[in-house]
Amino acid sequence: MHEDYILEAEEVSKAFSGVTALDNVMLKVKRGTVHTLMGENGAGKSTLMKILLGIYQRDTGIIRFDNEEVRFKGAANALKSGLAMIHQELSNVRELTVYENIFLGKELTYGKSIFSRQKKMRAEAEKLFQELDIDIDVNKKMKVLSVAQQQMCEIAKAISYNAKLIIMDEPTSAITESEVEHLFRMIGNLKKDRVSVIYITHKMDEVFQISDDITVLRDGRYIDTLSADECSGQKLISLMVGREITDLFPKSEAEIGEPYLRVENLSRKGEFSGVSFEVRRGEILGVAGLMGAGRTEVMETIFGIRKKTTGKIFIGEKEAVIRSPRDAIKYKIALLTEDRKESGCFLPLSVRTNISIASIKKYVRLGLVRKKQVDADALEMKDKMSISTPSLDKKIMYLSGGNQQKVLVGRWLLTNPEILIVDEPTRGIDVGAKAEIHRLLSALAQEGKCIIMISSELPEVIGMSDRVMVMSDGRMAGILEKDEVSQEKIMLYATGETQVRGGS
Amino acid sequence: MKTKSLNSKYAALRKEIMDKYGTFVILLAMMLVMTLIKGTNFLSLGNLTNIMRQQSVIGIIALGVMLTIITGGTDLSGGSVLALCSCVIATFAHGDYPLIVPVMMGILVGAATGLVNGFFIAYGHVPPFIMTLGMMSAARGLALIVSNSKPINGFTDAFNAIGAESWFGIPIAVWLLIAMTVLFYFLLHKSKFGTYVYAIGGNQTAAKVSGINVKIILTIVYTIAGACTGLAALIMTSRTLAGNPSYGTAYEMDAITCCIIGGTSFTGGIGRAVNTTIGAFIMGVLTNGMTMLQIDPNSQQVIKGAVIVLAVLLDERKNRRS
Repeated sequence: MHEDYILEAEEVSKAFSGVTALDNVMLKVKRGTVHTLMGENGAGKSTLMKILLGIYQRDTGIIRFDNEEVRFKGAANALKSGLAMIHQELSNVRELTVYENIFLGKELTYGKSIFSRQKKMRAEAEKLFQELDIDIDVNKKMKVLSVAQQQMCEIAKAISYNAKLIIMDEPTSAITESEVEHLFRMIGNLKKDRVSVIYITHKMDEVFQISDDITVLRDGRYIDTLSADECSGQKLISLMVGREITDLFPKSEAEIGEPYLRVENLSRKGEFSGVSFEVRRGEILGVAGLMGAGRTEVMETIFGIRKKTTGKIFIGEKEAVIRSPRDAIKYKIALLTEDRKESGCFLPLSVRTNISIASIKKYVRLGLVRKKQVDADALEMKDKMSISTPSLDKKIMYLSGGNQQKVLVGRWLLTNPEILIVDEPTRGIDVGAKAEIHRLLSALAQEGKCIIMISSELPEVIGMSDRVMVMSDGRMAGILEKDEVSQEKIMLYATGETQVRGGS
Repeated sequence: MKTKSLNSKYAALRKEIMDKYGTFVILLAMMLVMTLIKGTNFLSLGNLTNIMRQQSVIGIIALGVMLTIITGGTDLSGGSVLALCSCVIATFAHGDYPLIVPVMMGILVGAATGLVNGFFIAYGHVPPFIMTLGMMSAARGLALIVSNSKPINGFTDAFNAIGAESWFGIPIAVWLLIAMTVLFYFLLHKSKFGTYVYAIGGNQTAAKVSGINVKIILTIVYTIAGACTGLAALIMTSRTLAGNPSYGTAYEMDAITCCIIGGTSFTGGIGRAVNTTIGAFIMGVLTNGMTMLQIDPNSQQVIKGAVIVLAVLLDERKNRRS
């Protein structure tokens, strides 16, 4: 018997400059069903979606949409054929009204003229919203709507294009519980109209609430497709993380000393709450969690980039008052930020400036920067971390990602920090540079520094950390001791399968 | 094999020279062409000093504007602030006060306008374009109020000497421009402050994360730009023997032009002090040369416009190549 599929993607592969991102992936979505796509950060979900929409072109493989082989040329092109995607970051025009957004790019006009028929568009938008049971005034500007309402509008827009398949990328990540219910009712109605949904989520409870089928990806590979009735949360997690740990990242033995940094009940409204932990000298505290769990936010708050709502930070015995990164640096804290380009590198400036900027004060005499001293220290860092650059004058934008990252690590080491926070320190860099950075973190721990390492790579977290704090949805889900850490356990906490405090 | 590496070494050297001294090479080339055509009419001490004197006012304003552009901003208020400072200076240059008073008043009033600009830009997050556009209008109005809408003249000899006299055959105005260029050279390339200025223009978020007090640095940058304009106003007032509320129309644009010709990038983080001064000389030589070649003033405007765009085009290409 031949199943009625709206989408059949088979043997889809994609490589980016030689690195395989997707390897023979399969995804088959039945008509009128909700098909959930699961996998860790970096499992290949987004890449696969971008290939479906034609934002990336596949290297090999076949994609059939509505029983026809297709090769879309981008989101707009896919939308015309009935494949829509609702992104996590909504992409509407905030200054326009709801109905203008719905008809954006297909405005109803008088004949072939450029004059649009406002009244007719408004009426049609209202009719559409009625059919979909959405209670939003179409005359309102997009910017006054809540995230959930904007989502509804995007779904309505998709329907107005006669979408047969709608991809929803973590649609519940920024909306409240009652809004989630409304969304699910709406998805139920879509199913009745034989519209299918590809649903991307990390939240276990949702998966079983709305899915018909579930496909799991891992490391760019297809793992399995299951019917939601015949599987459990435990099973899904084991499928998601079931990789063998091939790369080991051993932390060398370091003497663990006294607790040095203590965070008590730190909260920031709308981002995270009740975060408490301590880090001892010589220790590496791993911080795991899914994207959006609030890990970066917590660390940026400790560093003074964001303002805390409540909570206390103690360094040594004393409470530390940190209102800005300058304060944090005075307390000998260093933060290697997550986004190298966004908040790390000074792209048009030299390696010299990039490496010395945070500690330049100590090189000043009589108002002038003593270049010789700067160069001496910069060159020492260059050797210590084998930064490959022809000279210190080279602009950092011409260095590879790995070398840029090493320069940034060097920048913070020159400030002689006691507490080093690194946020995804090895993301997007080559294996060599990665090993270099791991070696360095180990060495720093041996010197008795406190290290906090946020990482989405479970093997890295498990290999390098003495303890692992797992965050989920703005909360601390638990702290795992070294001997009880496992990929499965971290994922259980991270997906909110368990809210029980661990580590005891 | 060996020749190849020699060749590539030579190419790298040439590129380095062009990167660092490209603006200077262009200035020399322009002067060479003019000398070939006009001989000593162009290449005489008299003519060259004249060009430099003419550009000294714009050049000093341009140095300040360059700072703001390197931080990723801009300053449109230069022309009007020049007029305001000129009127204030003129009010104090009648002989009732010692010479230092009009000199300092100009710089102080200029710095004050810059402080206002910087404060609202840094702490109020008003976009620099808009803030300095507002100041452009306000300062012009203040200049008219201070001067009762009339030119002010009748200064002491000592005051008039600033714009008229020379030391060692070079006008005081030109000495001031040279001194300011040296000062800016040290400020930008040798001091902590300069590094911070580049860092803010290179990546403001990263600057903040690196512990730089972005707000204070930005405020200082705009204050310095205002003070520069005050100094320029001193030269202007003394040279023309009058304070005038209509001075400086479109000077801010000329100053920005000097920065651009000197390779300052509007994306921020790129620009050199000496090159901005050279940029001012290039514009001076261009105007002087075109006048000597009897190109009519209207066409001169068109050519200048083309030169600005061409300069940026070349810069873009250079940046993309490397």
